[in-house]
Amino acid sequence: MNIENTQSQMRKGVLEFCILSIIRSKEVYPSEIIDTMKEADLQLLEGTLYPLLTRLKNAGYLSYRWEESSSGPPRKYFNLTEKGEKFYWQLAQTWQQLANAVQILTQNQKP
Amino acid sequence: MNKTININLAGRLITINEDAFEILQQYLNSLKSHFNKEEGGEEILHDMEDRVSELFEMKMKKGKVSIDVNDVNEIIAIMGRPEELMDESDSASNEHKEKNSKQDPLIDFGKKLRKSKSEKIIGGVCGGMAHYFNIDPTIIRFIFAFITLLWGTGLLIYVILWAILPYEDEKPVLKLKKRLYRNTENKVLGGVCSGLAAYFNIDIIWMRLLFLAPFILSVSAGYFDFHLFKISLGGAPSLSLLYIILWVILPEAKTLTEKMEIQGEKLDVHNISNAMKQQESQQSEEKMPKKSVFWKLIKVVFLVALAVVIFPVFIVSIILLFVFFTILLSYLFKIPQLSGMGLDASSFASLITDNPMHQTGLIISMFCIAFLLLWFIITGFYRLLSGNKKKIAPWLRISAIWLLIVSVFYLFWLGGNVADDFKVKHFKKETFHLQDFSSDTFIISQKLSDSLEKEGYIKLYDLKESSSFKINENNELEFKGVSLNIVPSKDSFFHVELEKTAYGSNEKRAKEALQNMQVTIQQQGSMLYVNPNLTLKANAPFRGQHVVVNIEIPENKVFEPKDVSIYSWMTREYNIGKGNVQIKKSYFPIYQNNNFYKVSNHEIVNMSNNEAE
Repeated sequence: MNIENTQSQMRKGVLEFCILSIIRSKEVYPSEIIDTMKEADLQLLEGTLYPLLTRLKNAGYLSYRWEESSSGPPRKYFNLTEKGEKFYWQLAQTWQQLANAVQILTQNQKP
Repeated sequence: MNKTININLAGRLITINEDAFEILQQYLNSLKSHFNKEEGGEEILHDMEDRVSELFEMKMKKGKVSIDVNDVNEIIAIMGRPEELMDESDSASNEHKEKNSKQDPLIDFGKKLRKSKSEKIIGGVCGGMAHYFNIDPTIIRFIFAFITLLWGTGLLIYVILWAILPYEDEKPVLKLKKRLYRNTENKVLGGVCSGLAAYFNIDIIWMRLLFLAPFILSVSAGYFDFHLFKISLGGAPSLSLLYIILWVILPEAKTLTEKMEIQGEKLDVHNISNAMKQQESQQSEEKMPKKSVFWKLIKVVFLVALAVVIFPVFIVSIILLFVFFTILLSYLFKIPQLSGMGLDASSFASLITDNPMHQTGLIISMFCIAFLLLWFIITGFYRLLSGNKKKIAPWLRISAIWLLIVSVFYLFWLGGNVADDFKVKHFKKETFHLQDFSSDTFIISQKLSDSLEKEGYIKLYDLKESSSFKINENNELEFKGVSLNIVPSKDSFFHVELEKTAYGSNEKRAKEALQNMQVTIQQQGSMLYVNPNLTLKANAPFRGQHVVVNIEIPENKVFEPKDVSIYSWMTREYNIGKGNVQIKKSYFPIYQNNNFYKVSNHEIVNMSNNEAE
């Protein structure tokens, strides 16, 4: 058991939620998602993004449309479906509870 | 030197070294075999290739001639190897399967009813019940307090539950409970109605109507139904009081968590979307401009109505408070004469109502209100001055508030009841003739002469105008309910006609009320003594009893008023009905003391002026 595994597990936990948040704010294509995450300082293996996006799309939470791009091949622009909104909300709830719990549990730690 | 090849990767032309290409191809193949098992694997693969090619293209735009091994390894590290992805994808896909099959229930029927360790004020009973039913514990506590106040058994139930329920043995499950907050984002006054409406999942309109209803009803219901009027009469101040109390004790929902808790699980997506966007973007702060003018108007009207209704109630209650304190003291120290009117708690209560239950209720409510208000004010001042911010124990606070509200409501309801007891008027005439007497002048007096007092007849009366009523030693109420009216007699004899009135809720009660009053009129030779006070039988309630003494004086006879109080020429009419209380005062002709009047041609003439001339 090494530290990177645990850290990566922690990140994995919030990945879906973060991706959905990004897509929810604005229609984006995958590279944009990665860039936004980098700006927010959330590291991830880019390779994990694509399977996740496809899975979410197949489950009906996301939908996309193709848009022609001047600088290359056409891009997929993702957005949230109704089902995705509900799904997102449940995740938001869970995140709040989790954040609260962690906050409570860690607040008395001495530095 | 390197051999380069051009490849078409996802629609982009990439120049790549041969050895780098080998590695890339290996990587892409491993991805392919990995994603083959998955649904939509082709699409995933295609997207990943697209990204890889995009990254390559970016590198080339920066000036790279061709992609080399380092670049490829870099990209592989960025994208992730299949085995790294495998962990993620496995757990991710497993999670998805799990999520679809098992919903996360908020009401878990496998839950047992237990006491709560974390959510407790006294014993954790209410907290445990709240957790089991998934309602806000404050609501449960209100219910308990209410039941205890009304039927007294709430306390017993609580103790029993506390004894038999074990503490919860599971870790506290953190679910997003639905809690009662004030919703200040959607408010007219303080967001109380908004928060309540969200908690109970009713349209906010109904909540606002609920609080406004007594004001509207008390104006109109009086003409339709008396019971409705009584309820609205009691409801208006109690609900306003409740609103103010809720405004003070309910917390505002400030953080996003709290705002989400307002709605609990069934969140309106648009509400949260708004809240999150406001928090995330921190942009413009425009709030519902189109509705604000209309609501501001409503707010102003509401406040004015509140002020108009509450203010006189406020003044009246201050006066009543003063009376209560006097009564409290006299009752505590058993000094009936303290208030100067011979009043003590029980005789006061029996004047208002003859129903012993209501008498007790009246005294208890008065005590409660006076005591609680005094307590709140004193502790409030103490905390203000001493800077002691510690709050009163919650259960104490809540029960005190409930007690106050119930007492106020009861008082007003009782008031309605008493008003109801004035609606039927009973009227009775009694006539009696006076004995013949020899003197020329007929004297009308309200004061007994000293000689009679010496005979031990009746005590000399105190004609102080200031005290309009008092309670005598026999516990009887004496008040100025006698009016004098002098009329020319229809025949040649002196008559005294008594017109007695009294009120009640029905004919029977009105008659009873009439029989409770005593008039004292005595003829002593040529003098007619009329006691200015009516006496009510002990413990009989005041029900507008009044008597008009019509003294009929025959033609050519002279009379002289002596020691007649000017107030005796005044008569009162009680008109207490639904929604209005009127006491009409009017005067009969006033005849001055020590003046001589003569009945001449069926008119009464003041002889003193004539004689002066």
